[in-house]
Amino acid sequence: MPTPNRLRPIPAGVHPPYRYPDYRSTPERAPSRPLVALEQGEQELAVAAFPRSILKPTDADLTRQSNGEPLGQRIVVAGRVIDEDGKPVRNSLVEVWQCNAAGRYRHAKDQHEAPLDPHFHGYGKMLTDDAGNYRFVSIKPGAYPWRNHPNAWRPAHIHFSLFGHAYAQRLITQMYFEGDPLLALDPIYNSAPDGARQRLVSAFDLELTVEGIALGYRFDIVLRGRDATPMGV
Amino acid sequence: MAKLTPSQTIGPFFHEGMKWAVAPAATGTGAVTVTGRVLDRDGKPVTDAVLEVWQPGWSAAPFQRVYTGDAGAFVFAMPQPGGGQQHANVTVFARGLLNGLFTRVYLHATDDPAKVQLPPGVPRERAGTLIARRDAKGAYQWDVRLQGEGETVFFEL
Repeated sequence: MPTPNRLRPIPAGVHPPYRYPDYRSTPERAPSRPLVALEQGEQELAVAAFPRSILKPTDADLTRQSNGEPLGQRIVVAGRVIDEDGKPVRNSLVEVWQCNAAGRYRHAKDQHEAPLDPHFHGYGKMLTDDAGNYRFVSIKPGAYPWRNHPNAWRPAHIHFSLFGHAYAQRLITQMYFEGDPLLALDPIYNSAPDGARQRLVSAFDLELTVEGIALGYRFDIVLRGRDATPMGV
Repeated sequence: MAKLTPSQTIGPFFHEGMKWAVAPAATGTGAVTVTGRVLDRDGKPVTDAVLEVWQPGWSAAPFQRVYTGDAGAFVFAMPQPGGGQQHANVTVFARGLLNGLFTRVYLHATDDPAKVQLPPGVPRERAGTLIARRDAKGAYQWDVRLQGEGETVFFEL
């Protein structure tokens, strides 16, 4: 088996800080000590390989997980998972979850007084193809209030969980929608540095639209790329 | 060069979407359980965290995903450390964490933490935060303290 190359260090100006007081859950949960640098070894470059057999036919179509049609605007979300060098991240797991069109999650602890939709569960998963592409069908998630600050509303978003090809590439993030006026007011979105957070906003894409059925949004994801030198050289 | 996608919090509502990969801790010959809690700055349990435990060399459970419950508690499995030591890579995601955390848990057979080999760079006075304690029944106990007194060592990879 070829020796994997290490992942390059993460440049400044990409990720949010751990402590971001405008997001009120961070002050008591953010680590206060500096992270300890750990040299990447085989374990940090190990792949969590998920076989296609974990996928159910409806995992990539969140509008077909029940015996009826969910309410809301149907959407297609698609994009490529690549690394910093532009190489496709093939055959890697992408998990997604979201609230329904009314802004309510199917979750015991979601107390928002908006209706559940019996025909919408709000979660799916897929494996990227040989070009790093993923695609799923869903409904546009609603905005919802939360108790972070007075009159706080989360912008419409879809949660993404990515495994890439290495432990050290693991990433969980959120995708937003172009033109949402709530973005400017959202501390979670704004916790990511200016110039980087804009990459969390999907773009309306007529090419992805399915005529007569669903609007299309493109969201490409970039994971850490590899150093030129193999490990141990 | 393509620019990296920033991290965002996992939020509080991930459970249904991610539970397909949650399984009871492996048991059987050669497996031991590690139980613990995720705690915040004030020692309060973090009841909405998910841990992922990566042990690529262990065929019984190379990848485990476990949730914390109402007491902030979790349980997962690791191979018996035998005569030496074992470690697993562990990620922690939770509401209030804008980035995931990378840590490790070490099991040792000797009950002598000073004998555990840790990566260089781990400050000696914080080494104990990476080492699980063995109880009389041979099970292991390890807490994740996100902040404050006894804050767990988290790594930058």
